[in-house]
Amino acid sequence: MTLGRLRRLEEAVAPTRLSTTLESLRPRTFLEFYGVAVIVVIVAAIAAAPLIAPDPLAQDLTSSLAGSSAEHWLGTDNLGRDLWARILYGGRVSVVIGVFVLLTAGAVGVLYGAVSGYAGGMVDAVMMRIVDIFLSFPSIMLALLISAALGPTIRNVIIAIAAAWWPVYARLIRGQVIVVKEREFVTASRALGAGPMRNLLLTVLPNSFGVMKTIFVLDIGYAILAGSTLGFLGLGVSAPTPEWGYMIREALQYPTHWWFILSPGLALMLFVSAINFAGGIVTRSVHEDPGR
Amino acid sequence: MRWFVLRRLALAPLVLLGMTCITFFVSQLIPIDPVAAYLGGRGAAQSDAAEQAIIDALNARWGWDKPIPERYWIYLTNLAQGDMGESSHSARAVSTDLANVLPPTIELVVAALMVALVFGIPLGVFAAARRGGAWDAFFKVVSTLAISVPVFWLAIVGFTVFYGRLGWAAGPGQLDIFTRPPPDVTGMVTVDSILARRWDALFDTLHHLAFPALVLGLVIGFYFARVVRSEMVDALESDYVRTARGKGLRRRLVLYRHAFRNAVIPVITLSGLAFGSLLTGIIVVERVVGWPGLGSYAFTAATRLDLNALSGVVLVISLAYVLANLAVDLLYTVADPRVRDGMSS
Amino acid sequence: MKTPVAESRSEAASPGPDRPVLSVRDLDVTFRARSPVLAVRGVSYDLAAGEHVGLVGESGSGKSAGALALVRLLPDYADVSGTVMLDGADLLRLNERELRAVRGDQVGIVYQDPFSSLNPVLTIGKQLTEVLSKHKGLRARAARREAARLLETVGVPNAEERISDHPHQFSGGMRQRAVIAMAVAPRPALLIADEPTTALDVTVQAQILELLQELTSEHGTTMLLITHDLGVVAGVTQRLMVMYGGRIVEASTTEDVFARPAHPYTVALHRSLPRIDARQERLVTIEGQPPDPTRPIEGCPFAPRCPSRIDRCTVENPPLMTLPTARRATTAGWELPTISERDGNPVPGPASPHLTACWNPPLPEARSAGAGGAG
Repeated sequence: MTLGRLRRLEEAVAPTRLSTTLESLRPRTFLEFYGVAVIVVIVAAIAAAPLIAPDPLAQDLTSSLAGSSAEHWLGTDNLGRDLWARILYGGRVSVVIGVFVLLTAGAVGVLYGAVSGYAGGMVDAVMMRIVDIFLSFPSIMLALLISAALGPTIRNVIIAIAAAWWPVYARLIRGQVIVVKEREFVTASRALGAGPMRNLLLTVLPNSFGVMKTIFVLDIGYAILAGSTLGFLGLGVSAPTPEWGYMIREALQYPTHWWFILSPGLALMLFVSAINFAGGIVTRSVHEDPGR
Repeated sequence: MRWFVLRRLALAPLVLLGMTCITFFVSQLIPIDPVAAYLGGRGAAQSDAAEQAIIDALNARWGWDKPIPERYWIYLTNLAQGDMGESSHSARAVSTDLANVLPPTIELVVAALMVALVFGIPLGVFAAARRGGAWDAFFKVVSTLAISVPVFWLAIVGFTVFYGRLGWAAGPGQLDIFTRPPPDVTGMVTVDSILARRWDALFDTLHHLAFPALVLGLVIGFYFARVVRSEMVDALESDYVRTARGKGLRRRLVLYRHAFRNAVIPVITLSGLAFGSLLTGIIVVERVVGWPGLGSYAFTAATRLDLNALSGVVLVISLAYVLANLAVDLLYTVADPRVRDGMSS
Repeated sequence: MKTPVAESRSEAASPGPDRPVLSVRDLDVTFRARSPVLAVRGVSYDLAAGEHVGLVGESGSGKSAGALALVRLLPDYADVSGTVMLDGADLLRLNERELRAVRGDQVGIVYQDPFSSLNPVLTIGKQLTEVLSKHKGLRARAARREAARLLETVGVPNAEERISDHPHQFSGGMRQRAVIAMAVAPRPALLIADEPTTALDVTVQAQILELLQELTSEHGTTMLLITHDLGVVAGVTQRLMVMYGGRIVEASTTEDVFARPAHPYTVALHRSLPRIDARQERLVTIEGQPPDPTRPIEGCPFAPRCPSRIDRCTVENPPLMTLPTARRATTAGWELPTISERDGNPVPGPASPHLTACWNPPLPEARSAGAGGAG
């Protein structure tokens, strides 16, 4: 208890409010800087893809599986398509999947969890058993099944992964809501006559987001990985659209053409690890070593 | 303790029922007529009457003409008898297929889990004991890369290098083509080899098992290590560790008797979740190294959009996951005296 | 009654009691952080054999950090400097191995929170016997018997059975008794009790204090009792050291601190204490904030909040209040700091506040009070 208090001294003497929030979101270690920098570069590159890369769908069978050249920086795939372009456009798919899975699963999970936690009693018990059932699948299995049933489009991949992920958020938010609900200020606002809905939206939810932001950032990376896993299984985004996981699947047939197999995998690793490194910025306050 | 365990056990069937519910309704999502899809797979070129007979037979078996709740009931009763339908790509009962592919996967899961535990836990303790130092920083970088890499890609690259280039890893399959397989008893070549005292086959199959087990085991091991490290850091900064240090105990005792005994409790819980990532890894890695297990089967089923086979795989894996987590919960109650005495639930 | 201890920055000038058990000089504790926290700023004192000394201060005054720093039990990011002499050895310069021989053997510690300071997954018996096997070389059977005996001694009923219980099966008071048993098991020369009653029910507090008193008196153990609560130390200690802003601002006999507080901070602290024996005046809170632990302090740490402040206080740290100074100050008729109230707020005392006891030079025959904690 004493040590914890000593450790919190630093926070106690720091300035408060918005400035602190912005201050705490500044990268501090080398790895955090690295992560943020890589994310910025990758996002800029995939945004500018039409300017800096050729058509990712243009086939040229005469130069298939070619190595690096001035024309094709990263070489070409089995259909002679430019790998550099396909990596960039594939990145777009990954970002879209990552962001939209989080938004969808986040929205559903937060609402569900908030209602469950706020309602309490039997409603809460039943709603949480349903969550338990969803959580008893390894998430990718559920996504795989849904994606197979719905068919391979970006929208369906997002739905499939989000369907597998929302229960985690629901569980988390519910736990938070229950804690926050009991705090005095909610009781106070209830005493002042605020209705349940108003309470939920204005008081309970904003205070429950603390834990969520951490998980959100890291989960973008895992959503991207999950999307690529579906792609690799052939259940992701449909064929001509470039997608990193599906590119790896295609490259599986050509293991000796190393540039073909290396580039999508490295792109995935670079991007996801950058998100994880940068994620340290938000996790730091929650679960990291003291300021070193 | 009893209460906690009983609650868990009581919940398990409910969870299983819920799972079948989800797999069933997901299979109802398919926007096409199941009968047509089924027949389409066979190239229905017979007479209308014959076709109608088949449709009737299918409807009788699966109740495809019945309303959804009734179909779910039929699905459940079939499932209860081990009938998961037929695989459209192997044209065999899914349950037969699963019985064939399950044993090799069990071998791989066990081997990979052993690698993960033996490698991951000491690594996490090591990093926590040196927190803030150079080794810890190195660990942070490498482990972050390890959890950021798509495991199927790592397997492909590794297999290309270690099998294709260096020849250290064994080729696809469970045995070399020149090795006479041991008599099939359990379906697990390692166990069968031991039963038949075929040491050459055992050695050969272990050689084949080594690469996929190492790839999966190391990746999952890094995941374990991160959890262990984080829990250990918390434990090492706790008051009771300070008390232990204040007693003048040796560093090793403080680390293992006091900190690790506490840190391992959340690790047990998380290992149940890690088991899920391991099963996911199986799906993608088996195909890469040609291991004839559940993963290769699922890969083909996914490629052919063989929904019966796919939901069979999902059910089996989820069942394994539920059982593993149940086991983890039981282990947890043993490890934590507070739970054991029913203080918290 | 023990001889009071004077303070000094220099070893030579330290008269000390008849051979101190513990001798602390210029102890500094800094927590490394973005803005380093100066928890303890140059603290010096001696403890004589068998005496019970209270270290009093509000939270954040550095009292706990200063006490745990003696045996280097602070986290890695704490820098500790100075000297801590115990039994001829400087604890701050021992290597890990030598330090381990001191911890738990010569120095026992009772921690603030018995709910977190015991290991939840090990039995009470295990946590007791490990001290015994480490420092007394007892084997399993003997250690267990001794552990049961110790538990019995500290007042745990059914010790024989309860020895195989886990901490969560003990109540808060029982846990603290177990912690005390661990601390006193090897008969340490020094017992550090870091807010031992803060986390406990009021009804249990007195029992725990009595137990500590009893055990330390019985074995002639020196006790350093850390607390924020003047009420706790009143009956247990012979001497008191009052900490403020990482420094000791007053060191006196307990009797004197209560009867004739000398430093304005002690006076204020005193007035914030509810009393049942005296006519209940209004409790006075101390206006203002304790000093920012991340900033160096110029002058007296209490100066910004001090009602008797004079200009000199803000640039120079007054000499430490020790018993001779304070007592002689009063006997010589000097003004001690006083605080009067207007509308419940403390206001500066008499019209000429500058000649408070803080700046009164000690009488020539009094011991040099030095400049303890200056800078």
